[in-house]
Amino acid sequence: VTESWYVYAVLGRGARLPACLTGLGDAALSSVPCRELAVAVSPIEATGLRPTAENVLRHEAIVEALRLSAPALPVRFGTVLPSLDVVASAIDERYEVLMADLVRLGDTIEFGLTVLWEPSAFSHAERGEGATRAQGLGTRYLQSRVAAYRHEVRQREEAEAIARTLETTLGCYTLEQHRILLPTQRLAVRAAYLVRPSNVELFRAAFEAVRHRQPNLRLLLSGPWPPYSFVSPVPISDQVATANGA
Amino acid sequence: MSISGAEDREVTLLELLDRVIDHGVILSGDITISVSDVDLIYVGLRVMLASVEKTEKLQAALEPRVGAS
Repeated sequence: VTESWYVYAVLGRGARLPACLTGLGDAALSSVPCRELAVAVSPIEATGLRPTAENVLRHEAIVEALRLSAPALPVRFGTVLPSLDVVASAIDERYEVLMADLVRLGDTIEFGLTVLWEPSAFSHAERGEGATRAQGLGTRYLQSRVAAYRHEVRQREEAEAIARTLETTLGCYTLEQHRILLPTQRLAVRAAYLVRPSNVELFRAAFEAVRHRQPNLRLLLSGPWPPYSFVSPVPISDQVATANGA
Repeated sequence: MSISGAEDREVTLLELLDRVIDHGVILSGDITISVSDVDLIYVGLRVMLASVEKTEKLQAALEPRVGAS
């Protein structure tokens, strides 16, 4: 059976792994150094990983445990490399970015916020009813497209207003934030906030305040998470090469 | 916000999946996943992602029945 190495997190070189912590399949964790960084890994059969909820939860639990004992960057689920040399060279290849990320993010946490709303119906003005009744089929179709466009613009403006409110209220307790407007019709905003541990209680209190001020919305807060959403992305060109097995 | 424990867990699991699969450090060495016979992992992840999207759509459709804040 070919053995590979599963990667959990990027740490500082001197970081100690928690004594009782084991990896996926209860395999022993070890640390692979690369200059001033190290990565936590455990052996795994090359074909032994399945993307089950159990494995995803275990991955997250291990990353959490590592992060509690030392600053850590979470590695994406499913990262399996064929040898320890490849692990070290993969870290070496992105060393500067990872080092900067560890300094920036190592002891921070992330919260996720989802804002659900009841999508509004088309307004009279958006439908433009007075102008449509006597028109032909083609005209009615085009006018319905215009109405849909106007409606979408209005919804986006409303979602943007919600996002601005959140930004104003929560922004002073966060280091960075990402947001997506209207990922679906039912989701007005999805956001991720990077927070210092010392600001967690203030952030939660600010969230509760904004939630009470928005009784028509459902605001769902999740976390704290390791700062998954804030690590520096890999350039698209590298991802394409990766997907092609280049 | 009055979400039941089960709903809370569901949202939490979706948020977790979104993070651990779609975010986090990406090592260029990931190529191993697609050049060895671990290809299945990649396929599996895509299937799971599709399942998550489907779950979210179902959840959105069921939202009116879920306790709102």
